[in-house]
Amino acid sequence: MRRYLARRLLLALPLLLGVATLLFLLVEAAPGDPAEVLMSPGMTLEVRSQIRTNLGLDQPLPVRYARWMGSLLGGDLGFSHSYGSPVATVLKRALPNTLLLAGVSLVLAFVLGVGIGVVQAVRQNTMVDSGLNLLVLTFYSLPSFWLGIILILVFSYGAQSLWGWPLHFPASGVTSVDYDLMSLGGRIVDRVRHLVLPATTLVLVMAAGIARYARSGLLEVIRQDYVRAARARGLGRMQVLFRHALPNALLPLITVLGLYLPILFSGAVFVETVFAWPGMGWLMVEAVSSRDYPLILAGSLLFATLVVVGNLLADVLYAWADPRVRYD
Amino acid sequence: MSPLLRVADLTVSFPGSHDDAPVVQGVGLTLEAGETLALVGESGSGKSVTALSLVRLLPGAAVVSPESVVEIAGVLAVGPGASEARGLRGGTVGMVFQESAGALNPVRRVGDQLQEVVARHRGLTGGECQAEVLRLLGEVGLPDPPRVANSYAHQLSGGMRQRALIALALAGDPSLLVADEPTSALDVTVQLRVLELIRDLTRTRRLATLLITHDFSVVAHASDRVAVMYAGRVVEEGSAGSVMRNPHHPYTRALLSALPAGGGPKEPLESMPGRMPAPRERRGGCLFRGRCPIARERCGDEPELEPLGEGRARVRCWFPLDASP
Amino acid sequence: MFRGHASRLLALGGNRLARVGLAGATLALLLAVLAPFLAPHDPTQTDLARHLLPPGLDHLLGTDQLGRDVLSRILFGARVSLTVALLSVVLSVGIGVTLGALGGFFGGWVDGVVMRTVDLVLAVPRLVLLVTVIALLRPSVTAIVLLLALTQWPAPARLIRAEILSLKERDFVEAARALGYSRARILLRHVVPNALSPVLVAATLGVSHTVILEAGLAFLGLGVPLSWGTLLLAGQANLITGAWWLTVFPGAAIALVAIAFNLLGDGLRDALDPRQEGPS
Repeated sequence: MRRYLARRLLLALPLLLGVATLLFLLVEAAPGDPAEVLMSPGMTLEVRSQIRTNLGLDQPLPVRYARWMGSLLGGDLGFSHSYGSPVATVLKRALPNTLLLAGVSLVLAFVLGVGIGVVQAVRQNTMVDSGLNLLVLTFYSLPSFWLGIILILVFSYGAQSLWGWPLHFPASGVTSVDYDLMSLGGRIVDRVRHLVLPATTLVLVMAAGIARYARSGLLEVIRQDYVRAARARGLGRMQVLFRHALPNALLPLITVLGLYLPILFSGAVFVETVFAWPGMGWLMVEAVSSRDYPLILAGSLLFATLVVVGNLLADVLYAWADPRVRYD
Repeated sequence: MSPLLRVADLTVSFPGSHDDAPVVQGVGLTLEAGETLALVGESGSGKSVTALSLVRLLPGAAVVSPESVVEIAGVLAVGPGASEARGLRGGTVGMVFQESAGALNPVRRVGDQLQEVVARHRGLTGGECQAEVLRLLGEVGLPDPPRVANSYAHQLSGGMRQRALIALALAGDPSLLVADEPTSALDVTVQLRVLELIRDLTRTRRLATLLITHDFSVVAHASDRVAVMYAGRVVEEGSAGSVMRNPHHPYTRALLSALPAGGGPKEPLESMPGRMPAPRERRGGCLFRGRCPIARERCGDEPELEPLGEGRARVRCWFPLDASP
Repeated sequence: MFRGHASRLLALGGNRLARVGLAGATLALLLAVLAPFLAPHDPTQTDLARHLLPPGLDHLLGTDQLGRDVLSRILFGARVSLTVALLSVVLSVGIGVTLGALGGFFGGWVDGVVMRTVDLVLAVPRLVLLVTVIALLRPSVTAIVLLLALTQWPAPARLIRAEILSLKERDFVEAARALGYSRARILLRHVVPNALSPVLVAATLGVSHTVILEAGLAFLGLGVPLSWGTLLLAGQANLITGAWWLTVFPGAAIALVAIAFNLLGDGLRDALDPRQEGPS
């Protein structure tokens, strides 16, 4: 198993280098000049070419690639002109927000999704199963950004101004403006209140997908011989379900979770945009609209790294959870 | 004294999938403590459905007709007013499944799976339970029980897994042992040792053992009596020795002649023309007549399973072979 | 083999939800094709005097901030959204099936190159890649269709490769080889047709996914005019004025089309996958 993991790790590095090269070439191939955003119409040709020289844009492509890759490997991600600070600093501010939102949502979505899948599998081909099926399929088909706006309409604007519900949640940001004046308890409540709507959006959409996998996985396992054998030994229905069927059904879900990371991050881009949540996804959209090339490149690369590392973690987790791999 | 297992008029069908035609029809069996009965037949003969219906483990779509009766150790298991099947499963009735089909849970330790059953049926806990688990593993002839208890299925050999499955069947201290093809996936030498184990356990524990198999060499090694099934019905039943030496039903004879001299599993009946009729094709008369070398007009009526004489085999055939005493 | 598939496809008739999906998908396509005849107003006709009208008799789904009829805009938007989704899915299946079949059938370095490329494309979150590239290229229908296809093909490629690897060892392929048929002929005539049913299912589910994704890109400002996502973007901007109909109706259109294609895809899977059938 160690050798398998070592091999996976060795494959991940060239993969990331490949991704970095691909992204570099994409930005290079794009029409438009990265220097343009730094220039104003009144500048003379001399100043313009000076800016280009400063950015290294007068060099041939291979030289620029080597320089960029060299500084990337040295840990220098470049300078973000739209934020006026190093890219690394900007990313460092945004990353925790995304990890918080994505992490909380992934855990809750997993619990909710597996729970729904189990209920459906236990009640297979009943009204409960088909009802949940339709519900799951509906949420699976909802665009996350639209669901987010609807939640804002109902639980933020509507709850507050139209119906006067006591339970309403903020529609944007990570904290309130008066966060710094709050007590510790007040700060925690404030953070949780801000997390509720964006996390709910992500959880509902992702849980639907996970429930589909959980249901079919469990139905597959229930047909296995060891489940029938466990019943033949007189074990109770719940004991057979939770001790014999569920562990086997959860194993492939670990891999599914790994595959879900790109979907999770895509969802995060939309949800962060809708809820003005200053994370990586929101940052990417901002960077793209202000054509901040170093930030776009580094941000995409960070997302790719998260996906590759996440998949690696899923593999480790799988190998640890499955005795057939663990003791090989 | 009444027999330990009594099956009468067992009829099972799967409505929808086979036009409601029964896959098992009117099967009757009896079995005493300390005795092994082999239920022999090709796949599709209904032998496994018969075994599963004893403890009502058939798939949800199966329907057991109301006149069917199964009585195990004086308790009505199937029939009007039958008791809760779960009490029988794993307790009074131990089931041994085929090892190759993956009857051991791959992600749980053998010891855990055993402990669960010992706790459920014997109410033992903690150290007592642990000790009983190790004792059971020793009883089925597994070397180094603590190591086996701590292993997962994939870490054991095929023969060891089959022994572990037998230990699991014994964990609830059963009176009836039902073994469904317990040796079909094993090497011939391992097969013989597992059959020996089952025979010894039957004797020492005074078990009533129902052995389901498609292989007459298994019958020869491990059973006292044999019942041959064809197309959902028992067609011949008698002591293992006499049926194998002197088969009366043309089907039994064909099965036996397909057996290679050296024993061992073999695709049965490749020499016989035709195939077993599917449930929906079973319409009246002797169901074997389409393949029978001696079929005559009378075979259009259905023969009963009748004894050839006092203490002799029972045969479902109008023209039994070698019928004279 | 294909006759078997055809009869299984007919079994779709027995699945009520799948039939609802088929009807919904067909209806959406019909509405898109017939939009010029069905739309009550010109979708681009502005009328500032009648801006932000709530749903009513004259404008069934209300008007937007420039007084344009929302229902007409959704009907014409269906043309954009469905065209982009269908074209990109067809294109991605074409690329994926070709590359996956080549890799799976020839193995060796061909397979190595295909699979490493698949890993590469899958490593970057699709949306991030799309957002970056479309922003650099400026959005147009052609660019969006191409990019959606270029980031979607790994899924069908993997599916068909896996199917082919398992089919390759099967008897009928061996038999064809023994008869001396060329590898290309075996691939085209025997292997690919047998591997297509999971791709058909994935493509149907992919249409639903792509409709949502294209709307998402447009919602981020990277779409073409009249795309449902572009309508939603305008809707969000007017949310504070209380004009909920600008958000609710285009979103519901996306969701309904996605639900229809998902139902159809699930139905196709149940009909084509014998493993899903009940116990025998």
